[in-house]
Amino acid sequence: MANDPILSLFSVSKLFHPSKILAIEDINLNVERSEFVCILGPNGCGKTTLLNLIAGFKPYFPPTEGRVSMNGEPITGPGSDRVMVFQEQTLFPWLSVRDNIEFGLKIRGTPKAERQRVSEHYLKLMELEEFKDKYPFQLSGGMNQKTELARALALKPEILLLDEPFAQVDAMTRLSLQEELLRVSEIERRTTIFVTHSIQEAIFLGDRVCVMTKRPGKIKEEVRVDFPKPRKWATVSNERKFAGLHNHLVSLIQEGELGNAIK
Amino acid sequence: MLSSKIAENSKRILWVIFPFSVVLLIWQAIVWLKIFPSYLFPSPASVLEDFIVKAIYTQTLLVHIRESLIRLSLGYATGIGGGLALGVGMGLNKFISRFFEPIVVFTHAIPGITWVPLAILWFGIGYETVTFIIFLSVFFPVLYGTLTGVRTMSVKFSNVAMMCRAKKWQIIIYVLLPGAMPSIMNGMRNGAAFGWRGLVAAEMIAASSGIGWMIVDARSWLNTETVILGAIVIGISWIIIEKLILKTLEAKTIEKWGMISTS
Repeated sequence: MANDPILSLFSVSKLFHPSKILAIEDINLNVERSEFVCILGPNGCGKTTLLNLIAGFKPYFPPTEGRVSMNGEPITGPGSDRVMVFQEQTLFPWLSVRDNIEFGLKIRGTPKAERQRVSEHYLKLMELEEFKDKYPFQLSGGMNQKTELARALALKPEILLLDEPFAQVDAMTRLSLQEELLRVSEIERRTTIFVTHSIQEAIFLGDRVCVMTKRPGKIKEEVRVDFPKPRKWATVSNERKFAGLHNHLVSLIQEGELGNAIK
Repeated sequence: MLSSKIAENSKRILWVIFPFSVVLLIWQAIVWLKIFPSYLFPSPASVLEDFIVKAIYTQTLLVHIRESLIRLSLGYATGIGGGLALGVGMGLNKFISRFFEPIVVFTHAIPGITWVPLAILWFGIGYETVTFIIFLSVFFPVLYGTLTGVRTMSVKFSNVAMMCRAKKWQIIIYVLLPGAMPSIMNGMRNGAAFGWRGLVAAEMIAASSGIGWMIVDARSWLNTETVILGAIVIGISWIIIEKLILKTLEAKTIEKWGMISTS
């Protein structure tokens, strides 16, 4: 391969103790640099387990079987080269929007002037400037998630891990957040793994969609999405290919459902 | 808008003045009716006179207040510091927690005042004994508050800090302590109230200065107006401490961060 994958999972399984739940089984996944990969699957299919495992969080990490390596090196735990944005709100309530964005840099001992330069940049990029002195409880759900994204990006991770980051905002805000994410992602060109249970979201955002089956989660099929970027909902949703992809993914997921029902 | 605010404020003040005026009037009426002898039941005027003498002419009242406040500050500082330190230690480390838990539960069951005789034997009459009693009264509530705060804090916050590769001390200072602040604040509030009671009680037994001592000393000379003056000073001092220090601290932390509902 000309381009070595930035992240590769080889035959990864995770069995939880003491519940003996096999969350994911035999996952093989290679992610290219700057690629935007969506992991699509129903609730409880182990997609969050997969993401947390890549992030290196206990008890998801280490895997029961298989290898996870980044740039050819096995990962050993959490690190700032992989930064996760969570579904629930994880902004520090005691820090302003600006201080939340600067948090990781402060931990690293980055000088104040540099910290401010970085936070100004991301406040501007995410259009959060007028909220910089607000505290998280004063933000709307959408603003909150934008700040979470800004905080993650400010760490300049090699891989951005997004765990259904827009699941808890209303549908209309979600559309604009998705467009915004793609816009920023085009500028930053950061490798992104995005977990979702929304088929439309996966098609709209991903360069590639990996469909997972119900527990134990396996990757059933990978589908390439080649809409030109930047994408906008107004144009993408009108494409004939969009409907085709949508139908294909629905049938993939429903097959799994039926299979499980018969079992 | 402004005028309605003024009206509201003056109404509030009126509802403080009015009830106390009624109490004062009943007090004066009892004096006029000569129900009790005046050496047991002094008039409001004689208490006021005693106040003027002690506050302005001899200034002994100010000396006693100063003495009490110094002991209080020492006791608070050591009690809060110790409670925070052991609380964080127990919250984070299983060994420390298992080792101290039974000891702490037992010691907490002993009312602070029980220690007075032992403290007198160890430290004699004066600063050390009173400060020790205040320390004990503040230490336990702050310890429990911190412990609860640290134990109940969501792991999501420390996960975020770990992604930034925060060191243990950074997690404690930047995440754990502010995150546990609502519960710590609660402990400090209880600690302050207990410490205040401990101060007065300890001074009555084991000191030769301070407001508590002033009351006991006045009783033995049958200076009933000074006894009443002492009680009023204690009440007013607590309200000032509460409003000036605790309320301000709350407003600058958990209220500002939206971590408690403001009424």
